[in-house]
Amino acid sequence: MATEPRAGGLTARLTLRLAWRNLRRNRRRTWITATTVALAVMLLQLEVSTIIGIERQSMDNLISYQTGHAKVFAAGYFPERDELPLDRTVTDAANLVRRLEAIPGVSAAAPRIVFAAQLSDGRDQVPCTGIGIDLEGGETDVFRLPRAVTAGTFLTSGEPGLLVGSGLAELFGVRPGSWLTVVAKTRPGAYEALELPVVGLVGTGNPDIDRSTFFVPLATASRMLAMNGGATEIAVRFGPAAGETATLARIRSTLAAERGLEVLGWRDLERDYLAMATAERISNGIFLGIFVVLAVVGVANTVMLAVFERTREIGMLMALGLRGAGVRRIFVAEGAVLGFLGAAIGTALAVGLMIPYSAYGLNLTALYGEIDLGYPVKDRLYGAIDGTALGVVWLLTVVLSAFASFYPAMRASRQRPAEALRHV
Amino acid sequence: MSEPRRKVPFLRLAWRNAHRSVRRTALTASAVTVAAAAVVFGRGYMRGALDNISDTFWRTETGHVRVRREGFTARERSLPAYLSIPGAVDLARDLARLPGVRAAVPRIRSFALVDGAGANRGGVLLGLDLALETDFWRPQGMLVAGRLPAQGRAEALVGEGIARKLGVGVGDSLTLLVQTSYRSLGGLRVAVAGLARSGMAFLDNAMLIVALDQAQSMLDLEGGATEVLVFAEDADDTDVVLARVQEAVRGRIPGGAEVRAWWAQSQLMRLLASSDAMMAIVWGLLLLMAGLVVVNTMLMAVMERTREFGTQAALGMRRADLVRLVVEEGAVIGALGGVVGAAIGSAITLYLGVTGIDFSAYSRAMALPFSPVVYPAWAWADALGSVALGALAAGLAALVPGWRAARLQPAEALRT
Amino acid sequence: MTGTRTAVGLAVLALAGATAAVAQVTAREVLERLDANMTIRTARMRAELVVHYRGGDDRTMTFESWERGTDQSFLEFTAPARDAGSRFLRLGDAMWIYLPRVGKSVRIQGHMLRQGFMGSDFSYGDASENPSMVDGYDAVIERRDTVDGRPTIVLSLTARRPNLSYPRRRTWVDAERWVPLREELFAASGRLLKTIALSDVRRLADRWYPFRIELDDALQTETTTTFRVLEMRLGVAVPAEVFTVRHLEGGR
Repeated sequence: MATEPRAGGLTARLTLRLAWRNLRRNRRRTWITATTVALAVMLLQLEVSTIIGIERQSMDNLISYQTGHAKVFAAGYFPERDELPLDRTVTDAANLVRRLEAIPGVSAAAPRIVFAAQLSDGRDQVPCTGIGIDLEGGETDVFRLPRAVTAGTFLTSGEPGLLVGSGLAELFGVRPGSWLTVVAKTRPGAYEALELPVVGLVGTGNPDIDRSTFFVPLATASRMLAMNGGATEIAVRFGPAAGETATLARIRSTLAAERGLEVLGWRDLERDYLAMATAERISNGIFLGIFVVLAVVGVANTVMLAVFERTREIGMLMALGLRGAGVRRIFVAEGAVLGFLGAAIGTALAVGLMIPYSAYGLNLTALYGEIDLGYPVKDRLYGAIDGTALGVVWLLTVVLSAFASFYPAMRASRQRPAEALRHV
Repeated sequence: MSEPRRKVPFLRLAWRNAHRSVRRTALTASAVTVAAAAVVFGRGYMRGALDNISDTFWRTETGHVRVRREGFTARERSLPAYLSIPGAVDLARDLARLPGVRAAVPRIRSFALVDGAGANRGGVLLGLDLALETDFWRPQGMLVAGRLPAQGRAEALVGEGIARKLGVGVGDSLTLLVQTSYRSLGGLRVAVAGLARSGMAFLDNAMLIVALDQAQSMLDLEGGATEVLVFAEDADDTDVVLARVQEAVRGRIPGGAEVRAWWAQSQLMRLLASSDAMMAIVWGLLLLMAGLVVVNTMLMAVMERTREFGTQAALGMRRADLVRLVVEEGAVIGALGGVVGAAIGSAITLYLGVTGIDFSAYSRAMALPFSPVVYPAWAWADALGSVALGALAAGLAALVPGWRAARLQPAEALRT
Repeated sequence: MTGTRTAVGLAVLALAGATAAVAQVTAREVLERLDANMTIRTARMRAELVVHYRGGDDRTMTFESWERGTDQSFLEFTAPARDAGSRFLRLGDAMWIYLPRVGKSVRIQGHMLRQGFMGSDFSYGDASENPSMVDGYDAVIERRDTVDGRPTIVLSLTARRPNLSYPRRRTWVDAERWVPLREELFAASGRLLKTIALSDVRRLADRWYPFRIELDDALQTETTTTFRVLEMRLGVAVPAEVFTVRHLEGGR
């Protein structure tokens, strides 16, 4: 031992080496415990992965169907957005889209025209919201609406048609192939009515969309409403590696010269959503807590048994000059190493399962039937591979295992060497 | 040479063995204890959380049984007052007298145009019997400013969100315009008595709560309401209550009645069905984990006694008996641990079941429909189950080392 | 013989000439006469508004109104009791509603403009538009037709401004009385939105006025509306104070 002995005669390195050697001495016990911890950690990682997956999926749904990552409005539009005004528009949308797409961090931009309309089948007339989407431009790059088509097909560029929310379609009892009349007031204020065929139905899981929205090609909406090249909003999607705040700042500075525009990030667009996400996290915390407790008890038990078994050995070590603190360190280290091992195996197993889980997901409809929770999660559950989460759970297991070993370690260190030596 | 089969007093032996090393027994049992306590509490918490959700749904949306006029729900998008229940208040009083019914609550829901300080918005008008609803809708729990509207006064409790959009606060006035039950125009000027936060965005951005009589007069619905919610004494008896309500309502509503139990409200049914599946999954996971911990500990504890088993084998104990001895010992320890664990878990669950777990500090605005306090619900089946399963798990866990010990030659065993 | 034939021939010619004279009236002239007939300087009216529902019920209301020019009108419902006292004021394209139990007037704007006046097929937005035809529309004579036994000139109207609610209309104008007997209102695409049938035309001072108007929304079958004039007086003195919000809220 070259270095100066510390804390009862043991350096950290030596402690770890001793711990490791002790664990290897009783391979079977070590492996059994490590396996228990591994399985527990695996379950924990999968649960965390599911939770993060749900969070990401609902966030993704929000971004992919409603908000994009950010939206550009004409100044003054956002506070009045419930009224669906057509008199506060972004003029020359096409130009603005080009400028936005040139900004680093922005992967696509798409104009949308959101307008108040009535849908009629001749018998009944229902007020709803119409959205004109740019089929030739970035609509499918910014939003993922085609994913949500539940019947029929998505809209085709150049062919006027309707994509109707599933709830709205149910109200009229229409299917793809039926015709509906869309009535709306043009921007200047004249009535316009178009008969359009329903080409498809959408179910995004978000009742706001499914029950009261329909989609038409942007060209159709623009002509119908005499928008003259304007749009009510331009939605922007960021690149996968782009930092949200940085890109948002860049967009704002690029558009700073135009006094008539306002840029809002998705978190500002959907404040209520975030509150809900937080609530879910807390509710799940309690469950994870129980799992953690169970996982760690396995380690504690093992270390305790080890203490009992090696009473004599401890007595010898103490007789040879190892002080209480040193004894404690060894056992705590053993516990920590056990935790580390188990967490390593468990995490590796979990990651192995997470790869197909995150790619193919779990089919929820088989379990639950269709869910309409007013909560944007659809019928497949995808796990998420989040490095931070994996690391945190691993570290937590190590720390808690060390912690759990503390009491047995204390007991070990409190023994009197003489008594210990007499133990059989 | 076959000997006559000796009668081995297994249980007594098992018991005695367990007592021989209290420390080891305690250690093994502790694993079962923690597992049992976790299972009892876990199930109790889950049940409490689900009860919370379904309770809130019942209280605010569907009751256990909901009575409406035929056609209202089909047109729910516009909340048509002309499809309301005349005489709903009397009907509610009669329904409340039915056996098994705890209360029958008349409610009015309607759209209103809200005009205040120059801005106007669409809102949802909620007419509540404020005295009765302290147990059901519980508006007092949503109050964040001012006070509740007083019965008989033209006052409203306004959702925070819509108040902000209209630019009004406590003390200001609002004008409400509605379509009456005669499809005519009605309205009322109300004072903002208080502001409310339910945690549900769609409510906070639209709701206006007024006393039932105010809503009735606004909508030309004297004595009427758009729905009556019936609450059973026991939610599990809803099917019986449903039949009684259907009978009692016959002929009393022009155009026919629509009487639905809560499970027919598809949203809620799906939620609870999914929760059953989730409960089962969580139950399974908890058991699996608990079982693993127990197996782990048992394995280690028993494997250390290989020598002892070898001795017994050398003394003539048959292998099968040895295994049985080990298993029963495991089961005994498991049962002991399970009892202690179930007791601890039950104690925690029962205690928290009374005080509740308060989440409100952690989430200012929860958009899911449950109140911020969860009361874990204890069930004796959970406690009993965990004891039984503790014994089972420990016994099963002891099988492996038992077999191993039994297979060893006595000489080998003695050498270890 | 030749005398009679010549006489007949001359008569035919004369008639042809007269008809030709009538045929030569331009679409614009028709509109001008229509406007002249339908626009009043001042008027007082008592009328009945009936909404017929698909289920079979009817809802009948009566009201009194004061009009001044095309821009100002004041309405007060008198029956049934639950609607009595409800008042409307229109000044230009601004509208207010006053309900006695509310006690304060509310400006009708935004989404509410699309809703039917008292639940009828006649929207608030419709009511608030300037009814002058010749200012708002270009006209073309489509053909001649007969409605309820009356000879009519069928005009095809196209809006001159983009902010008029109904960009296209077809009007059957009574060729002698210059009263519209039938109207079809279209969206810009030509889709029929509303149909109006006017009947019970009576002489009123120097003009003809339809005392019965039936309105049908082509996009829904839930409701149709009938409007019946019970009493109408033109040229009466109507004080300007009537058309104020104060009057709306304060009463007579």
